[in-house]
Amino acid sequence: MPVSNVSPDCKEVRFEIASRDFLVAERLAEKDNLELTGIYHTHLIDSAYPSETDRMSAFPNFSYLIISLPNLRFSEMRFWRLNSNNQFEEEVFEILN
Amino acid sequence: MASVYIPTPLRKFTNNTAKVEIQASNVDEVLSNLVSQFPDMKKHLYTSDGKIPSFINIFVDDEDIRNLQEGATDLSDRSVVSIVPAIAGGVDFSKEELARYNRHIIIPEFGMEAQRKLKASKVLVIGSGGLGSPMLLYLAAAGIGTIGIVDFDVVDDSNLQRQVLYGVKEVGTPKVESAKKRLTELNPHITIKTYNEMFTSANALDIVKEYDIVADGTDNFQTRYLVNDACVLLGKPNVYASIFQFEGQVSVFNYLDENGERGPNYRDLYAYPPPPGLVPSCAEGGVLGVLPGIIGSIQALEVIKVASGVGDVLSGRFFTFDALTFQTRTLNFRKNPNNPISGEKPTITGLIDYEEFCGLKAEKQVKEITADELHQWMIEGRDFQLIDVREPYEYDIVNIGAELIPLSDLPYETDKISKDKKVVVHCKMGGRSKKGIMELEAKFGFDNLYNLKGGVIEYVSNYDPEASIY
Repeated sequence: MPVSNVSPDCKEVRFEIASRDFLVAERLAEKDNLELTGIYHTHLIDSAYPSETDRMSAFPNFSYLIISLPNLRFSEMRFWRLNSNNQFEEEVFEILN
Repeated sequence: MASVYIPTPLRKFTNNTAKVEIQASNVDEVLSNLVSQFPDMKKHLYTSDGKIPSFINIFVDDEDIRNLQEGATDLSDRSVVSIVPAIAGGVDFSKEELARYNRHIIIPEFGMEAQRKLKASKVLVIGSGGLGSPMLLYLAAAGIGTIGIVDFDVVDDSNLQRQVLYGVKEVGTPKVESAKKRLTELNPHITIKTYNEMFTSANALDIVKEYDIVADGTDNFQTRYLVNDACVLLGKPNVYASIFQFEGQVSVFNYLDENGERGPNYRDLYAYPPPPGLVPSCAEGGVLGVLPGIIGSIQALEVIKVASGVGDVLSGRFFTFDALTFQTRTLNFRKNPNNPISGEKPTITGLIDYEEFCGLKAEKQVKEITADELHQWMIEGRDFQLIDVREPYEYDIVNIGAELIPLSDLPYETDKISKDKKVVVHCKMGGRSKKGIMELEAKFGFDNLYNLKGGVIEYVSNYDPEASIY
């Protein structure tokens, strides 16, 4: 589900998901008996590794998918989740369909 | 009774339950009752001063409580309270920084990752003269996040022949202040800290410990050994360079590589300094102005490689450049097991007096008496005291009837030493007694002490040839 970037800072370098959008997504998941397990965001110049800003803003028990799109072309994607030391650890993922 | 909707990231704390029923009449009560039921949630729902953190939003039905009565918002039995995390992120640079560092970021082998490391790194540049000038300009321009500069000097017109950080306007002002001003104009996105003082054994460890990388741009041996030893003691890489007339040298000392191996340091190359005066400084011997520009830039390159982790660092290798013949050489060198600070049996475990170590402190003289004079005094029956500062076993081998006070006992036996008449102090050859006299003069105010030149050995070989000599 695509959402808009409501970051009050420069939108080219920061993102924030509106609470209302998050709420809608959770309700939607609940209705279909699914679970909202994470979010994704893109890195337009960076690799698919989380930045320090990503880490500082991250919640535990939540997956962060980062898609690297240098020059707007897909290069790689990686899943991340905070460990007990508040550091990102990469998660193995499988695409089902 | 209100229903509380728990978001996925916090569900771990409610045994994976999405919806919890809580007895409460307003939002504040909901949160405090929720936390007393699930205590692990507390750090996510309250700041240390008991407020709702900025990264948590609370909705009652479909409205943010900031638009209602905040925590005092009343609830009905059918109210649904939703805890919503603020999901955010972004790159570690501002838009301006990304534009500034674009030519770094677009190099595939460098990229955002290396630029991020530069921003996170703290580099201490010691000396902001010939080497420091180009180095500081390039480090600041490259985006090293924190740069410390140590220099006690003021800008002199004769510096401008090579110290390109300064101009005529800065002559007479402290170098660190002029440097900070110039570098801030160049790059406002970084932090510059200045130390307008001499780098000494007294402040070295306190300053160096605040940084990840040290770059030595000093021009004398005592500071070079001090920088080296401080870096070895604190485990910091030391990017070294030196210049003289037409020749420059660069190396990276004490570098911890990716395998956790610590590279050699300055004392592996030169365990001890040359005698004072043998190697002149730039101030004495001169230097071609462009040379520090070349060598300081190579030094900046190595700092950037250490900071970013890109490329092969010049560790265990010593680069030399001869500007006249354009001959460059890169010599390999290894750790020396006899290195006095990092070898197998280190004898240096803290910073020492580097002026003294480099032979720069003129040795203080003490009053002396020759064996012949002493013999004369004895024959004449003069009133004087004779003290032997050797060890008892030495005294047993040979003595000339002196009172025995071993050197280490001297400070505790000063009441046995006369202040009213002349006192001759001796040891075996004159070294220890000189040390003892210097200590007694400095700490206890004696001014009547005479060192027996050549010690007991000199005396007995002249006047008691039968005595045992050891």
